[in-house]
Amino acid sequence: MDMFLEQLPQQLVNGITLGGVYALIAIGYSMVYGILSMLNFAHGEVYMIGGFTGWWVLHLLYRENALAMNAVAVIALMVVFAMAVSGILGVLIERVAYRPLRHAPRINLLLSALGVSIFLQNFVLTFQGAKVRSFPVAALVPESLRVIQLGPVVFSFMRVLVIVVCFCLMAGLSIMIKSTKLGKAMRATAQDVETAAFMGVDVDRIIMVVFFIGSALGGAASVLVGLLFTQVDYYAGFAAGLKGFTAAVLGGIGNLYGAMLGGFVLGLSEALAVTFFPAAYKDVVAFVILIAVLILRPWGLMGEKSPEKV
Amino acid sequence: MKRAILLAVSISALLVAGGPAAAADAAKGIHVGNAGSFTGDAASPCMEIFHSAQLAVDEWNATGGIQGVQIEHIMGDDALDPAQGLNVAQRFVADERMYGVIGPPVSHIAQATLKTYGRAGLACITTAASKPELTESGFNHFFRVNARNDAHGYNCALFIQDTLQAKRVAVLNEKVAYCDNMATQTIKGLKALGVTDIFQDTIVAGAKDFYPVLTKVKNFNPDVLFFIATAAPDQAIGVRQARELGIKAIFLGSEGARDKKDFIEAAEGAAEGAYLYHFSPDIYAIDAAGGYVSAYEAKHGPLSGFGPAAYEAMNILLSAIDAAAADGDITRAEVVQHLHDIQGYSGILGIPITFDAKGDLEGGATYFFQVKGSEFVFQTVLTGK
Amino acid sequence: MNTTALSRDSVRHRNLMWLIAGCVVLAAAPHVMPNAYWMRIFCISGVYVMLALGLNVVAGFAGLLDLAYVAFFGVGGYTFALLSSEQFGIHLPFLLVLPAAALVSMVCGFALGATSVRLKGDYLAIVTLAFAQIFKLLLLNLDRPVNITGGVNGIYNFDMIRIFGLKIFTPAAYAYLIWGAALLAIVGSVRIKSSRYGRGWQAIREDELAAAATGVNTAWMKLTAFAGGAMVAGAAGAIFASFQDSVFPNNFDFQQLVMVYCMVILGGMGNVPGVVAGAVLLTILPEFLREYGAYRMMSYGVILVMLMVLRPKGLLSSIPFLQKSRTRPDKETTGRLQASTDLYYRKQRREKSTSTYQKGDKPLLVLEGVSRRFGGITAISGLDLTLFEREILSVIGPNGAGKTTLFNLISGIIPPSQGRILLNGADITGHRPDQVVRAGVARTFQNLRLFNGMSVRDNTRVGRFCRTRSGPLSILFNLPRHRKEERETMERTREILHLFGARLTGYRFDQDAGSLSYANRRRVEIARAMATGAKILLLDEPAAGMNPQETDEITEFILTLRDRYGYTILLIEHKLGLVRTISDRVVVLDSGGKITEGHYRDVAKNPQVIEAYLGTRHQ
Repeated sequence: MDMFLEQLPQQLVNGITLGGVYALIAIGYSMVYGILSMLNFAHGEVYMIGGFTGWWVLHLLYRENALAMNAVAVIALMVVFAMAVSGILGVLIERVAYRPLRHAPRINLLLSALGVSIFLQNFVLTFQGAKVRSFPVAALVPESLRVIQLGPVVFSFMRVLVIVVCFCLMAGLSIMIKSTKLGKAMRATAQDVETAAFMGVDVDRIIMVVFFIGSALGGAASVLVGLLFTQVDYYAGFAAGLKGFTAAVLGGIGNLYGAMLGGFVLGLSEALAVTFFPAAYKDVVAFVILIAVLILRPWGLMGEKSPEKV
Repeated sequence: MKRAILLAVSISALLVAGGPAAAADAAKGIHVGNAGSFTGDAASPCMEIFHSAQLAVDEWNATGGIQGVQIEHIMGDDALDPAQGLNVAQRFVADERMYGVIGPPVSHIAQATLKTYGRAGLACITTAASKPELTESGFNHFFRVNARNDAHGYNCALFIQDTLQAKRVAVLNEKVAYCDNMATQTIKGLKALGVTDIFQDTIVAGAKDFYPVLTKVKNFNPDVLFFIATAAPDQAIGVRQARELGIKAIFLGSEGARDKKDFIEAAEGAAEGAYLYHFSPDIYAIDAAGGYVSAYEAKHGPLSGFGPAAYEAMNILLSAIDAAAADGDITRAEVVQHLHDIQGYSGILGIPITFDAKGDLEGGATYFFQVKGSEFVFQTVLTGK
Repeated sequence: MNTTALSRDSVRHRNLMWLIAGCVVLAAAPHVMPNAYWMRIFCISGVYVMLALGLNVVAGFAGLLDLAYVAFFGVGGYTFALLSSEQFGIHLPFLLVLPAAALVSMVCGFALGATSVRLKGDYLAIVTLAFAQIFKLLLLNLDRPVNITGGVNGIYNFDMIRIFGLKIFTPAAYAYLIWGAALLAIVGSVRIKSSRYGRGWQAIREDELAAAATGVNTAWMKLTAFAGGAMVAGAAGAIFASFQDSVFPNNFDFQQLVMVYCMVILGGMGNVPGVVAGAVLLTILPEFLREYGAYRMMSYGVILVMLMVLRPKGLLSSIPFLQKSRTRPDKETTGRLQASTDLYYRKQRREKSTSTYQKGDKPLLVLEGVSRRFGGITAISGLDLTLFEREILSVIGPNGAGKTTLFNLISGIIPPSQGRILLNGADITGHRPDQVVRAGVARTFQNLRLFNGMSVRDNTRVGRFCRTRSGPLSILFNLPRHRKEERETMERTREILHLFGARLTGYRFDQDAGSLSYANRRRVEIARAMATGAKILLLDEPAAGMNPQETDEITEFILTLRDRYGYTILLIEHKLGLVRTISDRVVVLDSGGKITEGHYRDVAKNPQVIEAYLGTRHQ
């Protein structure tokens, strides 16, 4: 038992930082779900392409020896480009694969999303190759900041950054949704697409905006995760997507705070699972928690129960 | 009722007409197959195998092919699914102009397809499948240019116990056949050599965050961390995060880590001093490989560890077919026989290649390297003694 | 009654012909295959046909997004592997292992269904996906500390299958075994689809709540769908494992699931011949594309999206050849087309004359102090209500008075917070909707909840679900009990639909409910409620959206229901003309409470009622 207690503080930190990553991915899922009530299976792939964009930006700057630039500026550039590309990609996907199906049965929408996901994954495989791309982060984060030691606990600078960004995004998003006109229109659309349309909300535009923001968040997340784990490859979307949407559902899909909570719960449960069981079972533990939560609270930890209209 | 009969007739007609036309004339074409998982999870190493084999085929074709016949290199994608692997196998077997196959590189698919290729006597040269049982089934068609897990496992155990002088060993392996069997064999070897303080756990490839499991390793405080993963990027993350967490143990990586770009460069200094093993000497240090390496890297970017063996295997296969074709006609049995007859083939791998009766690489040596600066520096070679 | 017998015979005749034709093709196929490769594709397409048909039960018929489906395939495969290999040294005969694999898989399906039966749509998808992931992780990792699944190395080298001494090891023998099993799955699918089970599942797929309110035990039916699908997958898994002579965790990946879903989608969800064709097509197609690696997968993605956007009902279901043929009941006996209006007027003449029933004095349905709160809002408070035998009682009141909530409480869709509901003196408080229907109370919905993708006839036949008892076995083996029940169902359905005359008979019989006019959909809802055999009908605004003529017609029809057939009717209606014409009594609700009740004349003069409807006059 002592053996476990000894590593517990570190594992808690591991869990929280991993949770930050999951939360970041989950927010994009949750936003789209909140408006359209659909699981955007392709979000994982949009996320992956955002990561590739960030990598290309860094790669080009690196090749041009432009890394003498301020590290913050470089990261900002990567994030902006990744957000733009994945945002536009998200809008495109919505236009091509989802909008024609808005009144179709749910299962068709889901399969269309799956089709997009298969396409994008293999598109990248074809044109970018199967090789993993590495982010040269050493040039961005000074040696002294890379690892921070606090008592028995070690964590890296990038991990702290991910959590900080995560909270900033949350704050920004909730302000936007609560107090801007656009946010109000988004909430109205989330409540009832048709009624919102009657009230003069340009629903198509709102949905487009939501897809743009949700996908752009995915892109930003991907760059941050890329900087943190130093890699991106064409298959990154599947694992990230699975975890991201597990987190979103766990927290109560459609609820942004829920997505964050879900992310942290998932990250912590994985870290603790590794502590007490063979590491291979960490996903088993995570999924068992998901199932248990959904059986006891089918609407997730923070989601609202919406009774069916009769 | 009429429609039913009509349908029945047309389906039967379709079935009869649907199959590929059977060609009997061997001189009209020479096919070699490449069975692998070119999409899905393992696409990266498999595509490198395919491109490398293609280079070899292109070179043969540029010099007139075999007996003046151009060689056709056919991809058989199984998407990492054994059932599809069998479809590929049957397809290759049914192709009468198919005289040999490179692959399958994934152990469990090689296992699933073993009997199909074996019954047809179609030569297979795998470049990565290292599960020992594959050559123990009584068939004679299956060859490998890579070493078996059991040989490697013992050699690694010996290296850890003898050269590195370790008392406590942590073994982390990815949960795929190659890595899992490697871990099992190494632990078996370590126990036989009297090292009993062993911690074992698994990682999930592509998960990218190994902090939780590495925290466990740190807690165990080993002398050596043996990190077995297929691909170099996972190894790079492994060594980087281990160092970040302050694990002081010697890092011993597996074959996949012999990749300058994706391991040494990607780890950005964390890999300094790490060891790794490989079944062949450093490809960059071999003069004969220069042409291949530059041709590959010009076309497909930096090499990881999987390409050279595939290039070699394809060359071996084609020379066996060439030998079989010397008398004008080729049979699969001849190709298999010529492969068995090969003695000390000297190609680009830097080791003379001879297959034993089972099809395994004779010798089965394990080469150990250490990362110094941006180079892999040869340390020692062990042959299981 | 000749007509039904005849039509059933002709359908059976046709099906039998199809079956024989299929058998001939399948028996000949192994002998005309050009080589072992095509033989293998032929065999494996049979396995996929089974697999797709199993999924078609869960996802196609019942509309449940089961993403753990491929795990059941795996359960079957591994059950076979463990029971007939050296893994544990167990070597059972195949004829024992096959049912065992199907059974184990079925039990797993049942268990999965039981844990997730409350979840709907996406949440169900996620939970089942989680189960599938867990299953795969267990396959991968249950080799330590005790080697059960063989981990990444899988299990291989199985016993040879022997069936009654017959050794199955040649490809041709496998072809017969696999396609024999596939044929059974096809026949089973066809039978179950046109049975009470098939209709129950489809009703759940179309509208779960309406299915429950029509007497379908939704929880049980969902469980059986899971279990049924899993059973087929388990059997397919066992055969597949033997055919491959090995099993590995990779055999049961997410990619396989996607593939099987594509087969079902391509064929059209629930369309049996379509799904079979889809499975065969998608097994053969990749073989021509195998050389193209990632381009192959890319084109899959594009095809999937295009299919969903352009042909959401499946590519194959739009080929008329594969669609079920429409039978026209008015054409059956004579073979000549008969004007459906004739039927209508003939019925009218006979039916109009008599008035057999009147309001009685026996209280049938009694509500005692029933309340219902939603959070802080009280929708119904302390309501007492009595509905007498063969009475027509109208509930009126302004919007938000709690009228629809009252119906929901009675029909069991929501349980009351307080109070009791008695039917014939028996307490039905808290009963599930289907139990309430079986007890004899059926309803319609204000905002129309028909099974839009099902025909008028099938909508009505779903109503008979709670009055029939045949289980899966008697359906699959087409036992006399099932045949008798089907006959009765058909007769009763016909009788009820004929009450509506030309509105719902003739060519309407086979029209999808969703394609009908608004008024006709209201009629089908009433027909469906009547088909449940309930003697109390709760009609929620039956005349909404009808023009004056149609309103007159439905008014008369509701009267007929009571006068000629003795139904007891509780009615919500805003059209006061209708209420005045037919009501024995009227109850006025406002803000969840009863203001008054009594004869329409008296109620209409009540100042409170006037106030509730028109508001207080401020002076």
